[in-house]
Amino acid sequence: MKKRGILINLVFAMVLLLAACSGSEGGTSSSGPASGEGDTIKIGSLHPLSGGLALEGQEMRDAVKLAIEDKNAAGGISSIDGAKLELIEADHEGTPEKGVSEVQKLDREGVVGIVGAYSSGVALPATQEAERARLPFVVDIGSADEITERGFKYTFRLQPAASSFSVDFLEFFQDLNENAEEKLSSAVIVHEDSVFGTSIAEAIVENADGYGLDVLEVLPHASSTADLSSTINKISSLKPDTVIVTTYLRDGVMLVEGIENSNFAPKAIIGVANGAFSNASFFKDYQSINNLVMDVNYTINPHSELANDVKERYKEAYGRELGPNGAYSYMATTVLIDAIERAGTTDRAAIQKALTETNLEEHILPQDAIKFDEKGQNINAKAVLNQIFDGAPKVVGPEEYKETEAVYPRN
Amino acid sequence: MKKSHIFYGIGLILIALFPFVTDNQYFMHIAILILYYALVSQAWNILSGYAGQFSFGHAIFFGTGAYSSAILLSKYNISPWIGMFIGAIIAIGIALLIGFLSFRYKLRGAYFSLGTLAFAEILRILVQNMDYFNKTLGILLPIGDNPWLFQFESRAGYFYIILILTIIVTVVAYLISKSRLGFNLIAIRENEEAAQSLGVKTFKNKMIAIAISGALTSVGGTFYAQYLLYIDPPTTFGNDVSISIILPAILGGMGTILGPFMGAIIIVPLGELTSHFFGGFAGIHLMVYGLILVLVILFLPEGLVGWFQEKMRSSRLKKEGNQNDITET
Repeated sequence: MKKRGILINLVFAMVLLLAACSGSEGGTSSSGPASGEGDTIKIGSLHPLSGGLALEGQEMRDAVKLAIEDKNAAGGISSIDGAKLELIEADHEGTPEKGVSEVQKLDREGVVGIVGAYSSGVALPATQEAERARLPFVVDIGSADEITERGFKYTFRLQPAASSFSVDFLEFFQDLNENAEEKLSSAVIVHEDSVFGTSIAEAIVENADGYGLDVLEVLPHASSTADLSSTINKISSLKPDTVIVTTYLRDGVMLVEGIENSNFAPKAIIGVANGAFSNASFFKDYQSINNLVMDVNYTINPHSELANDVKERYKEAYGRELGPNGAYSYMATTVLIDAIERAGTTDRAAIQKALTETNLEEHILPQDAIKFDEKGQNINAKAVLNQIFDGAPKVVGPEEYKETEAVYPRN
Repeated sequence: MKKSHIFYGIGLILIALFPFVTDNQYFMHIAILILYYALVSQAWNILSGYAGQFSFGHAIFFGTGAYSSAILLSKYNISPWIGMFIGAIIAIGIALLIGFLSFRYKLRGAYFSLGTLAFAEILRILVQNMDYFNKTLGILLPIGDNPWLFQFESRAGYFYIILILTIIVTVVAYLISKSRLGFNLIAIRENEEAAQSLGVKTFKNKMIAIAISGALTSVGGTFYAQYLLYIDPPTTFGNDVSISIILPAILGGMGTILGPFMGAIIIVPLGELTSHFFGGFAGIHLMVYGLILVLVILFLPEGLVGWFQEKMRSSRLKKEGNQNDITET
């Protein structure tokens, strides 16, 4: 029996160790300046830093960091005696359980608000945990409609919701056809099969008739798939005018490569909130296949000087382009900082109240002022239509943010 | 009253007092996760540890439990307390079907594992494509903070529920291990042909094992759904779920009563510790976590509890050997 006693002691020792080490240091995972007693105001970043979505998550974490550094360089929070901000980063690995436990960890670290979470599947339980802890959570990216449909007071979202993406797409599609000499109508929808892709694809199919879109087939796939050849064969045999695509980065690249190598060339490839077609690495690394690919997506305002300035500094600091994901993380952080500044305190309830009163006109997104409705959704959030020309995305719609005319159909 | 009983009693009381020691939400969450993993891993242990039928698809039952209670609550407004039992009954049905198909047609060893793996995938794809299950959108459960809805304002409520459930499952596993059924199962694990030739009804015993194991796992699924209040196909029927159910039992010791609990009490904090110490470099903590797991399995193939039992047995033998020496001289 003695030996077993030792084992139990060992276990208790381990639990205590866990308690001690996470209690004493106040976060070894923070990458900002070391926390001086109560001097800094902590902001949490909750993104997938490891796993399949790591690339996107790290890009977003860096954008949060940049927004915080910008504010610190500008003298910190002036309404709280120039208090400096500190980033506490957390990794949810794309799993809901981890999302919940990281929110608690951030809560324990004493953050005044969280920016996250990229995957809708994590954003749903994570915002719920934040609601329980009465901790403001600004969702930068996370498209499932339900995120802001649960009557939460502490959840705010910058990105347009999934259903509005679909409507935006259909409107752009109609506009494109009105201005085109050759009208396109038949389409195959390819989407990844989690909440993200499915909800968008379903909303398109539901409303397609009213916009002259004829959906021949809907082809779902798992974003982790290693092979899309059956999808590509199906497309080549159906020969639709357009292929409508909602995927993440890797599977999106695989699909476009596959179509390129098949003997069929659709007259348009249009992404909807596509994780690949608006990704900086897709523009640069896949120039041979990405020409004239379109995407209806959240993005950076091409006409904003502030945006260009942020883009340049981001590239300088982190050695890569600021993509739309990063832009939204940057803005989500800025919105939170703006609320702290107006609240003039680190009291979370006061910051929540300030967030509801947000009216931010100086921003880098293609929309009017950032304002939240009573559900916490950014009411002016808008998707734009991008098209890739020689490895660089250009906005081709709507009128007010246009950089150039669309090439449609592309061949 | 044996010494060991007093010991377990004290251990239990200490665990039960945990919420009074800390009201820290994070530690409570970790404690709940430990108990929850101990529960599902123990349920798996009955079929795979004791009966030796290595299931690689326990997500089948886990997902069944999660989805049953969630659908019943969100669509028919039936309390998850009732949904938990209905889920367990459905899980028994599925378990018997899988058991019948696998055991009747003598799928053994790796083939049985692959069969269960395939079944989990089939269920995931079914759920993912049926409107009734809300497809890939998953199910978002209404928030109520109402104990009748299996929801509690404080984590202590969840803690005591999972503690009681885990104790029940552990006791069930203990009783099985001491019963005729348990001996039959171990005989089947060690040598199925030999067991059969001695009159053990292998088919019937394996069917009972998979039914009990499935029902108990589904209880864990219901708890998970009620705790996180959001489920979708990959987080309930995915392969990752099956693996995380298996890991604590393997680490702690398959076919032992304390194994799953010991495994869970190490594996959950280990995951948190590695992400705490190595979280600054994305991904490193997962590598360290994996490395530690590999090392443990490499050096303790019997699991922690198995290793201790082995040590105790050999020291007892040595002692007895010494005594024999003394009497001989």
